[in-house]
Amino acid sequence: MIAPTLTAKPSLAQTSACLIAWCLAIACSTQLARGQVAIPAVKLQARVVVAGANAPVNERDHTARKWVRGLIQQELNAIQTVCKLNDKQAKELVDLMEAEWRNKFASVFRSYSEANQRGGVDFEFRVESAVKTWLREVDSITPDQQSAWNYELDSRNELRRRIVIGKMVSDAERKFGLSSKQMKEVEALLHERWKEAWWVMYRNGTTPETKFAWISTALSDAQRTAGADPSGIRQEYYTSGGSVDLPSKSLADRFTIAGVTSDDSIPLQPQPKADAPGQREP
Amino acid sequence: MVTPSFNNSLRTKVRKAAAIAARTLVLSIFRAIGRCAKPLCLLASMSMGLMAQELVIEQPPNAQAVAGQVVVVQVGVAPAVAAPAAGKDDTNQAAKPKSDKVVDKIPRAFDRNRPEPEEEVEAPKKNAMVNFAMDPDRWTDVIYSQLGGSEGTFDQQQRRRVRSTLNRIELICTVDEQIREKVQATAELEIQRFKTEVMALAAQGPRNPTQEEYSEFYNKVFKLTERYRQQNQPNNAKKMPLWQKVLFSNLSQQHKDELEKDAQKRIEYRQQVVRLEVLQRISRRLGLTSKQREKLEPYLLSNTEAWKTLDQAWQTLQQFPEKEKKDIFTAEQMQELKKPLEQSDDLQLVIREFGDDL
Repeated sequence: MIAPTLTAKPSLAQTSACLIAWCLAIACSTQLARGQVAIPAVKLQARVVVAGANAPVNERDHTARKWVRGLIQQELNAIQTVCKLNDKQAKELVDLMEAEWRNKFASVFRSYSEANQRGGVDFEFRVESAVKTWLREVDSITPDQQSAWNYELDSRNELRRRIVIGKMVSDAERKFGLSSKQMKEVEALLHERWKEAWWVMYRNGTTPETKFAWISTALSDAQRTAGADPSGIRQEYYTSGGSVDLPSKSLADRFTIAGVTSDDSIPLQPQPKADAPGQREP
Repeated sequence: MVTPSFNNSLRTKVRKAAAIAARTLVLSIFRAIGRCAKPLCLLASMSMGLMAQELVIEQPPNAQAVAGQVVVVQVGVAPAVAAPAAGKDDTNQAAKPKSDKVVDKIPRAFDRNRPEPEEEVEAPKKNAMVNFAMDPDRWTDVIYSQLGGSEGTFDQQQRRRVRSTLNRIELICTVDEQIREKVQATAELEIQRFKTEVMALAAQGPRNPTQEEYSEFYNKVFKLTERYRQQNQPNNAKKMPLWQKVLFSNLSQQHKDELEKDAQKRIEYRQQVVRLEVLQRISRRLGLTSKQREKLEPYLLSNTEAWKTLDQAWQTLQQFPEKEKKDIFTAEQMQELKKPLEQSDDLQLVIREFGDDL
């Protein structure tokens, strides 16, 4: 592009402009060369930023972290009550949890901080699964202790099943006009069809639908003819706020089980800065 | 019957007189036409245009409005009018006769298609709540929406409710066809009565209500719908709908007792589910084990009211005697129990259920 202009006889002004351009080009190339030297420093800085990204990004993120820590601590207490861990087992487990919890629940924090409401993030289920995995990873925990904990989890699931099926039966009672005897029959039919997904659905605010085909054997001829009432006298609405059933634990407190706390060498969650906008004070 | 008869001479005289009179009349008419040829021409064009909208009146160029002369008026149909479907293109628009201008100038008095005088709409008040008129139809919608739907869904719900109740009762005791029909007829009557009440109330609704007028009228709506809602509440024998009263009056005492027992069992089932859910939430909050939950279950039955919501249950547990607390909870859980429940800004789903407990 420049070549054709240079072939013509340059004036004094053109020559000086050309010289200035050359000087600028040389200066820029020098800057670039210095930049290449500084790259390791930039990389180091990037690593620091990545570590900082593990910190709470906003108030919702911070709340989610506190809930997760609260739930993990509850699980630790329950494990101690059920499995009676010795000091060695307790230390291994608590250290493992303290080291891994942030990465394990990164997607939970992200989902909750980006969502407008709790729907879709099942803290309880995620913590339960993670704790189960951690227990398997600690080699010193015996199979008896494992099975005792599994029994505890089954018992929880049984309670959930009773609740969700109970809600479904109550729904069916209204929709199909069931008698108390029929309610028991329908309950048994639904137990046979139980799906874990129903609990997740229920936790997110929706009672699973009781299909006519599932329970038709328990209905009378007149009830079968009438079918389901799609417009039951039932109102559902969302209201802002309410009591939360999730425990919370400060990010500054270490996990504890049977008086054993996590190792001091494991860094705790960095606290959010108090002066940062949209962040809660520690 | 007598018919009048005339002799010949008289008949001739009458004929001559009539002929003279007719000739004079025709002449005077022609003269008059000659005098007002131009106005007549205009009048004819206007009336023709009015009748056919597109009729063309052509006046010969040599037609002068000279008194005493007859002016020939030619009336024809313009091509655009003869084939209105031919199109609305520019050529047709251009070919439109001059009479269009004349049609435009038709005084309102001659316009047969003039619009009806508009109904006088009451202008909304400055402090009106809405900028449209709340006619009875809108008020009717408002009233039915208070009952959770439209008029159609109200009808559907009521009929289905009666049918469903009868079906359920038949599982416990027999209801003969006669009673069934009687109950259904009573229910139908009640539905109609309620609908009439809604219509009557909607007709009284203010058209452009201010906030105060709206509140005042809304109170009336609330009274009407609340009465209906109370009828649907369980265990409300005083305000039971008429069809239920008819049904019960036709049942024996033994059947009534059986029904009552069944209703109690169903209520208990539903309440137990609610209590279990609260227990589950408490368990999550405190991290209870299955054995601890088992210990707590008897308390759910002993004080049912306290276990209806999480807040109530939490307060109840906080007020437990220390000895009982120590029997059930661990030291960490007792510490946790001292804390108040956290409040969240998240949206919480609220489900209100109105059960029919027959």
